[in-house]
Amino acid sequence: MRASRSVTTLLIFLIIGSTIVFHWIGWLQPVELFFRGLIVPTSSRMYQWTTKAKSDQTPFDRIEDLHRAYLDLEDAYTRSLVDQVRLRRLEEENQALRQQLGFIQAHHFDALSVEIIGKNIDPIGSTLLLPVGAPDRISIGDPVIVGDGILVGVISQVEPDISIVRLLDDAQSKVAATLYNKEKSIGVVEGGHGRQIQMNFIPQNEVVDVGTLVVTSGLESTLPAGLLLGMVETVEQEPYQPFQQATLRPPVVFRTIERVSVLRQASVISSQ
Amino acid sequence: MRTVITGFIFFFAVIVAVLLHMAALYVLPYPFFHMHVLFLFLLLLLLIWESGLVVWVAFFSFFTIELMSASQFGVLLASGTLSMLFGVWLYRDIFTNRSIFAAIALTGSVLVCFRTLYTLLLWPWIAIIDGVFLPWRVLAWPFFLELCFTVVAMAVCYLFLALLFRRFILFAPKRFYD
Repeated sequence: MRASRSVTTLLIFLIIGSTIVFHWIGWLQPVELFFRGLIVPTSSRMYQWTTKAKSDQTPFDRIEDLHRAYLDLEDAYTRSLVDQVRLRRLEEENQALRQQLGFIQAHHFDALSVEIIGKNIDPIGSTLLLPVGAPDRISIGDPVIVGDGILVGVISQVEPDISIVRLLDDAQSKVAATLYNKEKSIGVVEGGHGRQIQMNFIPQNEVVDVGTLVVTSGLESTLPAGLLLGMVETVEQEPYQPFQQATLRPPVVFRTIERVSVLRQASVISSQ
Repeated sequence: MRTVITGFIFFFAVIVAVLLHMAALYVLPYPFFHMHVLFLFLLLLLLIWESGLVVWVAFFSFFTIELMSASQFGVLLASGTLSMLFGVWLYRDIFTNRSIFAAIALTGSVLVCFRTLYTLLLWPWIAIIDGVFLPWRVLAWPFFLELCFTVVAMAVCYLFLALLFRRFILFAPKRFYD
């Protein structure tokens, strides 16, 4: 009985070990493509169905909540009108400065727009699955954005037929960031805090206000500066700590993203 | 012919296991998506089949999941398959009274074994290669949620099995303990 168990254990260890080795060598690629081919189409359909179902849901249980949300929205709209005017003025100023400096265009990003076909398969991770891979010139570290420059994650794995995006709220995610405060404080935005993300290593003596925008600092060679990460929601400052930390609210809900753009590496490096 | 049918059932079990696991992650809201549906399915399969073949279903299911995971290749595969092997041994030698308590204890033990192996394999990888040091509380809370929800789901599923099949009993007869 004991001998038979030792043989079984040994056999399983051997098979697991060989599978890992064969994966790294690339001998298992046909088998991997077969299994992915079975799962990915279903995953894609399920993902589309669930994101659609989630976006159709109304998050209000009571009429009072709906009314309050309406008032908040009205307030936000008024503020956004003021912001729009300010933005237009800044745009004009910006354009004039760019002309002075001789810039024709700010960025030459080589972006690839892709539809998401799945998300994290491990409950403790936060990832997205994209139907593009190495043949599409995707490489590890490529920034993944939505909308007008909102960073949602970074490519963490590239296969011939799929790529995996590690979202900002994943526990292993780390991005060098800058606060749009007076001091332009720098820090590191990290995941692993549920739905929120946290900016750590902000120097203690610098002023961080709620509502301040946080963008990528450009200190990493693979990430361009100025991609929006979120807005400061709370600030934790302990007098005995060398650094303070801020909890950020990402501008998008990661669970409901349907389409993203991957900024391919060569264009990111040339833009810096 | 029998081998072909067994092979087909085996293949079907792998695909169903992976799809159920994915569907639960996609559909269930927080914190319910922490429930480990794949292990729940595999352990229910073990209770119904009572066969060591479940370890191979676990191997292929975790292999498929590994192909779509961001963690280093082999972490889920090794921890998942070895935990299921451990589960089969526990079911045969320790939790033998075939009651709801045995099913709950089996689920808890297998998940603890899985997450211990997972952490032991993942931690050195990400610390050495990625240079990321995960604080224990970042992993502990999701693991705790996973354990709670999976154990509760197992209890509910076992209740249904006990209602459907006479082989599944809720409580072992008293003479079992004598």
